[in-house]
Amino acid sequence: MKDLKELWDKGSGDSMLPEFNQNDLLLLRERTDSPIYKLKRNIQVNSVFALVFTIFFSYLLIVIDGFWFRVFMGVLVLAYIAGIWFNNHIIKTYLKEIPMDESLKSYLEHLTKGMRRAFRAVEKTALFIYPIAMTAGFLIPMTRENQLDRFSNEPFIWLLLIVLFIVFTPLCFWLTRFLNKLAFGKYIDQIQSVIDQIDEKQAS
Amino acid sequence: MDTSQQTEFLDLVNAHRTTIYKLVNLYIDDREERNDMVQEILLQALKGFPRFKGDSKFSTWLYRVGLNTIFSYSRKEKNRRLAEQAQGDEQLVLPPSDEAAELYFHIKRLDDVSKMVITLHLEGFSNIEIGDITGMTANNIGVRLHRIREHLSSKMNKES
Repeated sequence: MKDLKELWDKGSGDSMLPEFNQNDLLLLRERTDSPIYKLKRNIQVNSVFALVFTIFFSYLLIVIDGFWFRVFMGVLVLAYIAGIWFNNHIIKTYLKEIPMDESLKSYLEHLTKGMRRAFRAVEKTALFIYPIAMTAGFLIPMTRENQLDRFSNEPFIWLLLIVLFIVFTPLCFWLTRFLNKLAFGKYIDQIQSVIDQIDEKQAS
Repeated sequence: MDTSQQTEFLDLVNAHRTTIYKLVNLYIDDREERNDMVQEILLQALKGFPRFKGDSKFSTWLYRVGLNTIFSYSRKEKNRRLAEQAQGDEQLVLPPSDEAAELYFHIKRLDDVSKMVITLHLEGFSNIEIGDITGMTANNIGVRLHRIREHLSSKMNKES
């Protein structure tokens, strides 16, 4: 092996490599194409949209009269606030910065574990936020037209709501899962393959 | 980080800058992405430097940061294409005439983890230190190194 080491050292001349200076440090900016950065940004963008809707719905809640309208609008606003809180919780809990000086295997395991947990959490959010939003969205127009009593008179309305629930709840969940897989699936597979390569060597 | 810490950081990084360039050259084929990656490793090292307490050698620490940064980024499609092209063209590409470059040529064609293990070994790290950087056990590194050595020797002998 000594020969290979000599060859390696021979090919490792560093006289041509530029030195780093203070200016280089000042110009350093985090890459925006980091998958973790992208995932955090996606969640933050989602929260911003939720915030805009929350403000809009809160405005309607204040300016439009009607007891049931306000109740359902209040539920909607609370669901959106819960969504924003949950998004923030996901970023702080699952996507917190991992020390870069951990061993490679441990670092990559923490990275994929955090991302997978974040995906699951985002999917769970989709599972409860969208149906609540959908139900409230279904009921709000009925309150405006004073048609809420149709609930007690027409079972068809209940049936429609249940069908919407059955169709849209898993749809929102699977759509979120599909989009996460589309955006980050390849990356997670790439990282997992390195972990597997390391583990394969452990087993050998 | 104050100016004196930044100066200390720059002194250490410049003394080990070949580490960063070597790693990036081994794993990234696209020139533009290579420059971005050097910057990213420098940034991550700068951010993590206050955590560096000198428990291990700076080179060990920098390798950890460098490898974690490289592997945690999604290597771009263009880079993957270049790498795959290089793998596919192995029979067609003439190995470099210089022996040192030839060794580099064959190491670059190893799988990601073997490439890392042999590079660290050739850089003079012990198996325990390699384990510390990669998370593998020293024993398994020894077994793996033996295989890579054999593979590289056969490749080098074949070419000579």
